[in-house]
Amino acid sequence: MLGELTKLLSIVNSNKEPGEIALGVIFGMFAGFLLLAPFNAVIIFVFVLLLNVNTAAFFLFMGIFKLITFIIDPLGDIIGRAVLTAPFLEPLFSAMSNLPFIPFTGFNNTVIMGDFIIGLFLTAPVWIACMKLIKYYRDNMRENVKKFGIIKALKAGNFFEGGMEE
Amino acid sequence: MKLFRKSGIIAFISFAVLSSVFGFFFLDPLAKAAAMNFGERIFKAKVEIDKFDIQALKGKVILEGIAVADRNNPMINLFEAKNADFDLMTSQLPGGNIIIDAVSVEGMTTGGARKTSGQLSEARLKAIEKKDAKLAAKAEFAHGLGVKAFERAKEQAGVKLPVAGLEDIGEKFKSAENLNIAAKESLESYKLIGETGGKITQKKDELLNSIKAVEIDKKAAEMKKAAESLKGIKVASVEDIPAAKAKLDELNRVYAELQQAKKQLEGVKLQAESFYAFSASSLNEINAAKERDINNAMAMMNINMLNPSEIEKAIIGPVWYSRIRNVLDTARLANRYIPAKKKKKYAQIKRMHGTDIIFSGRQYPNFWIKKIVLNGGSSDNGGLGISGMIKDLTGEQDITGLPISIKLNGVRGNQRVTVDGVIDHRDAVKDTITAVLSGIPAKYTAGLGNVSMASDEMRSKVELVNTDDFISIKGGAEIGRPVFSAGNTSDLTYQALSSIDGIAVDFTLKNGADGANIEINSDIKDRLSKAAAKLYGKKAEELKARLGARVEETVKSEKDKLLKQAQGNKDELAKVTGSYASSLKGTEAEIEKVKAEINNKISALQKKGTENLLKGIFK
Repeated sequence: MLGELTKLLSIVNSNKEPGEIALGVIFGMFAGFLLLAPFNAVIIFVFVLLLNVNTAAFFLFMGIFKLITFIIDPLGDIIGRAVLTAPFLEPLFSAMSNLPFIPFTGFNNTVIMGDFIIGLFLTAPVWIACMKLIKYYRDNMRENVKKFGIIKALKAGNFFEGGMEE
Repeated sequence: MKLFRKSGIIAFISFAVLSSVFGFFFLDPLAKAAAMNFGERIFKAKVEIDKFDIQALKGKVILEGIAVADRNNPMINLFEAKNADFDLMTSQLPGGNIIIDAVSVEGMTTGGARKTSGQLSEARLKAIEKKDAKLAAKAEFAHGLGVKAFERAKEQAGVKLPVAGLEDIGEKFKSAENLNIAAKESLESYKLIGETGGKITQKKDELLNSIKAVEIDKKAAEMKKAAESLKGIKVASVEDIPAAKAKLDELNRVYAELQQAKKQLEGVKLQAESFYAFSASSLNEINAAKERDINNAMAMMNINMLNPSEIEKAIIGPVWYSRIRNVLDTARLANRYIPAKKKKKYAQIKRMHGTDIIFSGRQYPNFWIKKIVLNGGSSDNGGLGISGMIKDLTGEQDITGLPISIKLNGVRGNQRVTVDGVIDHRDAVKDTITAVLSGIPAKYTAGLGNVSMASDEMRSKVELVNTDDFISIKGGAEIGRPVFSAGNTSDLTYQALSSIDGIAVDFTLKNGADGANIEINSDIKDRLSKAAAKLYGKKAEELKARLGARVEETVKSEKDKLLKQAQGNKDELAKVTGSYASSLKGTEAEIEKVKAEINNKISALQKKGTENLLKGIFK
């Protein structure tokens, strides 16, 4: 737990662009939600590799959102089933199931579809929240946090000031 | 903020290049190993592919030197081909669908000799069977019939022909003045009579108990009493009519009960009839046991008479089983890998996480070979060239909407094969396959103990029907001009068989909800009996008749007792059912009489009432 907190603080305290970190959180969220189909993981990892995404934030939030899936999966199942069995969407999904690569994403699984929709809905709020929180933290809290005894100890261990980052 | 990561792009390109290099060097061997592995799982015998060439850009796969061994005859190839070209629909590959527009197979032959055995190692077979056991565990008629057919064939093939010299027999006949049969207690017919007596008594007691449990007599008496109590009911005025009608309703209820009791009596009669049939079949069994006692007596005298039934079993077992094996295997494979599904709007597959919705609008299944064109080749290893076409090979017929159709034929010298079939699992299982073969195998041989048989004129026709409710295989096999050979040519069996110029076997195998049934018939029994009669002449028949008389004499008193007992039981049952029938008839007549009486009284009162009313009006 302490390690995770250290990681989080290390990322936020680093001089990385807030957008990079927010992108890492968003990709981490989708990876956590969609790992049921391995092909989705491949797509997301390729994006993470090619785009300027903060990898530490990505891996940290992938773990966090993976844990959250245990709570949101039942809701995802309901949403996914409703969407996949909606009569007016049937032609679209039938066409998608004949497209190259798309069937590998497991889009026809109720949980994957539901979690993906939840992820889409959360993208904007998560992006905005990340950007605002990082800015607020850096402007108002960073200096105060650095004064905490525990943080000083962690600083000595080179975990701070972006020690985790390459 | 820069959107792209330079190091990431370099890593991605490096990965793509390395993958391509890996694919270039290792894709073919990996695909070849996978194909051989899958083939061995299907055919349970060695599968060899000399060359496996994937031409991804052209959308082609070329296989060379394909050989699939026959698991039932490991030194023969079930089929082999010089090369096979697969035209893949490349647009479907990224979607994970292997759709093959056409496969062209050149130099297709069957039955060619192998240089090495095609048998898989014990460990490999065990591993395959372990995987298959999970699939076969479900109740499946084809699997059940396969097991039963194998057991029957094994039992028949296990029979070895008796050995006896013709000259010995002649001597035995001369010295067989003192006939000896086994002790009374050891005679099969005697033992069977005892057992049958017990069984008949037990069955009769069970039947009587079940008849008593129905209590028809008691019911009939109660109904009669109820009817009598309603007799003489007073219907003097209009006010009495409702009460009379209520009584009439009660009578109708009693009448319905009586009809129910009559139905029960019919059931009892049917049970009695099955008892009579059992008694009759028991007598047949006793006669068969007597036949065996006679044969045993002859064996005791060291006269090994030919037993046509046993010889028939030994000869026809391998014949019919070898004919049905491949067609039965095809049905089993079809049942295993082609599930019958009704086309729905969408199907659902429950997963640990959620449910997979399968859309019916899918145009392509995961695997589909639209057309396989086979061009038979000439083979220098004795194989027969096969030409023809197989269409729409897929495990997901609910998506293609097309059944698998098979049309194959081959001719070489006197060898011919024609296979016509449809494997239709679209809505329900409806498979039909007809295979007509002649001269296959080129030389049919069978070892039967001292005697062996060979023929180059094997003809057969097998028709398979496989549905959700049953599987049936009907057909026949003919062995023309069989040549028998024996170490000892004075062997009696050999002598008898040598006079046979042909064998015809008919078989019907069926397995369904009402159980498995295997019937195998041949004309060899009659032919052998005639041959035996020719060999032994009248003396043998006389000897048999005398021994028969001795056996009959020994068991006569017990047999008579049994017949008397069976007749007694029959009479007893007939008496009981007769008495029930007459008491029910009496009760029925009584009820009808009372009903008529009440109805008449009501009608008379109604008539009188109407007359009074009319009189009143006119007044």
